[in-house]
Amino acid sequence: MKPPPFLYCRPRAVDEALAVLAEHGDEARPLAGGQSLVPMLNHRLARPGVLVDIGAITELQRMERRASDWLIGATVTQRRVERHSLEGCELLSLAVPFIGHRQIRARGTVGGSIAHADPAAELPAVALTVDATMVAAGRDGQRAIGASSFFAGPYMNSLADGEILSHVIFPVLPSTTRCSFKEFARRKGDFAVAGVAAAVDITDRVVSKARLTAFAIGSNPVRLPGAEGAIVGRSLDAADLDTAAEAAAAEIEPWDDIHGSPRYRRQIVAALLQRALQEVAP
Amino acid sequence: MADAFVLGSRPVYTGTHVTRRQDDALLSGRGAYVADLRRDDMAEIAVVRSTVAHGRIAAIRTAEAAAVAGVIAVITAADLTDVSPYPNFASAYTQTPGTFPLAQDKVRYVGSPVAVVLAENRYIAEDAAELVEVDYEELPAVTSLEDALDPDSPRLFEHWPNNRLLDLQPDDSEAAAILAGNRVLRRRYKMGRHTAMPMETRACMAEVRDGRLHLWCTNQHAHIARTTLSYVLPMAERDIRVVIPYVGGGFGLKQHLYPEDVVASWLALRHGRPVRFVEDRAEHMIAAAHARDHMVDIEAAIADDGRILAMRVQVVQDLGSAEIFPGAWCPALTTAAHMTGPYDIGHCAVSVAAVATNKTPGGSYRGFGVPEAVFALERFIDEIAAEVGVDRLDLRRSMLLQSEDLPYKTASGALLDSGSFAESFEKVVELGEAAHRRAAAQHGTDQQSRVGVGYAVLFEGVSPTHHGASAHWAGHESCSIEVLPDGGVRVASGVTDQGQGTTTFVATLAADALGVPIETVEVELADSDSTPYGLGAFGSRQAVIGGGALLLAAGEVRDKVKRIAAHMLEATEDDLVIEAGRVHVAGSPEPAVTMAAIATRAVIRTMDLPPGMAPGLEATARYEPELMEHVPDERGRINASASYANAAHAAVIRVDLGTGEIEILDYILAHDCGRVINPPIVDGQIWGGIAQGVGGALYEDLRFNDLGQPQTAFMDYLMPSALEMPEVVIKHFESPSPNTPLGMKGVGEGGTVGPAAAIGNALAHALAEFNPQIRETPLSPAVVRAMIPDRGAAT
Repeated sequence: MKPPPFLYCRPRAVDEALAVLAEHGDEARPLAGGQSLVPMLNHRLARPGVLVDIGAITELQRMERRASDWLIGATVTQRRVERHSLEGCELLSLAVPFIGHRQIRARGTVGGSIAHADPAAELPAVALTVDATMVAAGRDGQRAIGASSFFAGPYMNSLADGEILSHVIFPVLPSTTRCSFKEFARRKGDFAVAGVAAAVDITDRVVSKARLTAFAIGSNPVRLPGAEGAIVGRSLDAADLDTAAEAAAAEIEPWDDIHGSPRYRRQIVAALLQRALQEVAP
Repeated sequence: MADAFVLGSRPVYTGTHVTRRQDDALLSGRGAYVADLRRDDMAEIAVVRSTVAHGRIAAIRTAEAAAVAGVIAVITAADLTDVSPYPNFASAYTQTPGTFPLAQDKVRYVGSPVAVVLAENRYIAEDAAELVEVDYEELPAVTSLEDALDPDSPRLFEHWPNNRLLDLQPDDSEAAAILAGNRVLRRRYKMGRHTAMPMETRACMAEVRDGRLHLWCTNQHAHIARTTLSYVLPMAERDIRVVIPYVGGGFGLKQHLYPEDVVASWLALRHGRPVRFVEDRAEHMIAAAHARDHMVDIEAAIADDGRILAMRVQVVQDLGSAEIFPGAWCPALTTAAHMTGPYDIGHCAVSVAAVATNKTPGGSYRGFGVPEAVFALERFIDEIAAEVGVDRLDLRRSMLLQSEDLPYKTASGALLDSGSFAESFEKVVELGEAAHRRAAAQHGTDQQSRVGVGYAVLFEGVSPTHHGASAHWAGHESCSIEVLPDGGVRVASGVTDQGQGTTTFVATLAADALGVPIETVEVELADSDSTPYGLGAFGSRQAVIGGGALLLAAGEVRDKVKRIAAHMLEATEDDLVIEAGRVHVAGSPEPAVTMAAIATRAVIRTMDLPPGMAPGLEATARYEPELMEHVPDERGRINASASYANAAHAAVIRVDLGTGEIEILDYILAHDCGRVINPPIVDGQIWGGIAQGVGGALYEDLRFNDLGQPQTAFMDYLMPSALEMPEVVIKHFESPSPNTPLGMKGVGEGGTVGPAAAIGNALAHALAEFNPQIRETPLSPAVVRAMIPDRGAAT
C-alpha cells in the first residue's frame, strides 16, 4: 500500500493550478482534502503522474452568504460547514455529520466530495436535492453546471479535461421548506448502504413542492419523481407515507453489493423515506 | 499438589488494581513495535501474491522486476533450495498440506505468496513487485465447505484422496440407540468467516549478527517460533534468536509462523542485510489467518419436557487452503469438546471433519472453536423450547450443572472441577429480564421496532494442551527468578505479552510470592536468548500455567531467602515472614534483614552463607498441569485443558423492522475465571472479548465469490467501534479451581464466546411473531430484514 512515484505541486492560485493541469493533461489530478484520492493512490487504483494540491489556493476557501445563496469554495472543509450552521442550507447541515468521522471531515472538502462523485457520498445527494450549481474553472473562464447534469456516473463528473471545481452554490431555501436527511450505514461514519434526502415545501399544511432524493443505491444519487408526485398536495398522513415509500421503492434500480441486495435497498429506502417524511410532515 | 502454589506472605498486589506496566510507553507513543525498528542498511520486502484462487503456476517472470533500480533480489520457491516444508506432526490422522513458504507448482488461494522482492525500501519493492509476471493455468475453485465435502469436488492437493484434511468418526452407537427410541430434533448452524484483525498487522525484521539469525517478530511464541525456524531453515536452533517486541494485539492470529517470517530470515542470511517485512492492511485481509467458518449439525433425542437425552453432532470446519503452521484443524476439535455445554447431557457423539477450500488459510482466533459450539447449542436449546412449548430458561435450568454435581466429567471428557454455571446464569437472567422490561417500557409502543432478550450459558476450556493444534508441543510453561545483590528481582518467563497485561501479572505474582515491592521486580519476556523455553500465548493459559511455573520458582527462592535470613537473625525459618523486601520474625518487625543484605550474602559475600549452603539466589521451574491430557482416548474423549472457566451472557436488543438493524441496548455478562489477579485487566479482557464476539455476531464477514475471489476489503470489514459497543455490565463470580495454581482460570476468551448465541437468541425472542430461522452468523441487517415481512415493517 505505497503509491507509485508521482510529482507533487502546490500552486497558490487557480490560474497556476490550471496551467499545471494543462501542461500534464491526463497525467495530472487535483488533490483537495485527499480523503478519497490518497487511499486510492496507496491501493494503486489511481496512478496520476502529477498531483496538483489545490489546498493552498485561498480563493477556493471562500464561504459567503450572498443575496439568495451560499457560495462555498471547493476546498472549504466539511468540518467548517458543520461548525457554521448555514442559515437557509438546513439540508447541508443535516447531511454533513454523516460524512465519515470528525477527523475525516476536518480534512475532507465540499468540492472534493462532490467532484469525486462517490455514489454513496452525502454531498452529491444534497446538491441534487436542492439544485446546487457547480462552478467549474477552466483556462477559458468559469462555467456553471447544474446538479442534474454534473454527476456522470460512479466516480465521474462532467468537468472537462483541465477544469477544476471552483465552488458550489447552494440556494437558500425559503422558511417554508422543511428538510430531512436519513441514511443507513452499517457503523457510525461508514459509507451509506442507502440514504434519502428530502426538501419539502409545506403551504397551508399540505405539500406544495417536494424534492426527494435517494443515494448509495446506484451510480449517482437520483431524484424520486414518483414519490414526489405522490405527496404533492397531500398532508403527509400515514397512508401518504406508505404510498410515497412504495413509489420510491418501485422507481429506483438499486445495485447489489456485499452490504445489500437490490430488494434490501428498496426496503431500506422505503423505510428511510417514511421516516424522513414523518419528520417534515406538518 | 496445589499446596506448592502459594503466595509467600499476605498478598499485597494480587487481586488489586496494579497499573499495567506498558501503559506509560504505549500511551505516550514510546513503545517500539517491529515497524519502529530501523537499521542503517535495512532492506524491505514486498510479496507477489496469487491473484487466482486455484491454479498451476506455468511461469514466473522476474527479470523486469529485478532490473528496477534499488531492487536487491527477486526470489521464488525455486530459489529456496535449502528450505524445508513446514513439518506435519499429525500425519497419523491428518492429510499433509506440505506447506512451503512460497508457492511451488500450485496456488490454492488468492493472496498465496508466489514471489518476493527485496529492495532498498518498501516503495521500490512494491513498484518492482508489480512487474513480476505470473502465468497461471486456472483450475476450478472450491469455495465453500459444502463443496469441499462433495467427493467429486476438485482436489486442492492431488495426493489426498479428497479435500478432507481431518475426518474423525467416533463410535456413536450409544447416542444412536437413544436417538432411535426418542423424539429427535435436527438443526444445522453455521458461523461465518471472520478474523482477529489486530490493530498491528504482522511484521518481522531479520538480522544476522556474528553468524546468528536474530528475528524480531510479532509471533505469540518466541521459543516455538525459534524451534520452527530451525525445522525449515538450514540453521541450528542455537544460532537463532527470536525476540518479540511490543505487539499490537495477537488474538491467536499471530500464533502461526508465517511464510514472510521464513523468507525474511532466509533473505537476511543470504544477503547479509537486515530485512524487514511489515504487512499492509490489504495483505492482512487475504494473507493473515482467517477463522471460524464452521458448520454444526445437531441431532438430539428430546424428552417430553425438552431435555436433551443424547446428541449426535457433526462439526465441519472450512480450513481455507490449510497451508499454515501450526495447522488449523484444532478449533473443530475444540467445538466438538464443547458441544454439551455446562449441561448434564450424558451422551454426545461428535464427528469432526476439517476440509480444504480455495480461500485464505484459517487459523487461530480468540474463542478457538468454542463460539461455534455455543452458538449452535444455545440456539438449539431455544429452538427446542419453542418446538416443545416449554420456557427456554426452565429448560436450561433442568439441565444445568449445579455445584453439587461437581466435579463433573462431560461426555467429551472435560473435567469440570469447579464453576458457577447455575449461579451465573440466574444472575444474568435476573439482570437481563429487568433490562428487557425497561426496554419494553421504553420502546414497546414503537411500531417500527421490536425488543428482545437472549441468553447463553457456557463453559470454556482454558489453559489447553498445544498438542491438539501442533501434535508436537504439549503444555508446560517456565520461569526463572534471580535476586540481584541489591535485592532487586529479575523474572524471566516463557510467556509473552501482546498487550493483554502479561508483564503486569508476572510482576504482581512475583512481588507477592517473594514479599518484595513490585517496583523492585524486573520482568523479561519474549526473548529466546534470555528466557527459559516456554510456549507463550494461546488458549488463555499464561496466568494459570505461567503463573504456576512462577510460583514454583519463587517458592524455591523464598525458601532459600528464609534459610539465609534465619542464619543472619539467629531465628527459625518457620517463624519468619517476608514483607516489603524485609525478613523478620512474624509479629516483630525488628530486627529484620533486607533482601539486599540476603542477596549480597548469597552471591557476593558467599563466605558468610550458612555452612554448606551453595551460593546463588535463583531458581528455574517448569510447570505442566497434571490433569491436562494431550491425546484423546479411543472414543475421542480428552481433558484437553487444565481448567474450565464459565460465563453467562444476556443481550437485550432492539430490532429496527425497517432496516433490520440490531441495536444492543444492554449487555450483561457474569464471568467466572476463579481467582482474579488484576480486576481491571480481567474487565478489559471481557470488554474486548465481547467486542470481538459482537463483531462476529453482527458485523464481520469475509466473503468469497464462486471464483474464490475475496469480496471483503478492509473498508467492508466492519469491526464494531466504540460507537457500536453497548455499555456492558460485568458480574464476577470466583470459583477457584482445586487443581490450578491459586485456583486461577484463564479469562482471555470468555467474552468472545457468547455474543453470537446471546444475540441470536435475543433476535429470535424479538421477532418471535415472524418465526424467524436464526441459524447462521453474521446477523447482518440485510439478513435480519429478510426475516421480516414487508407488512411487518409498515408504520
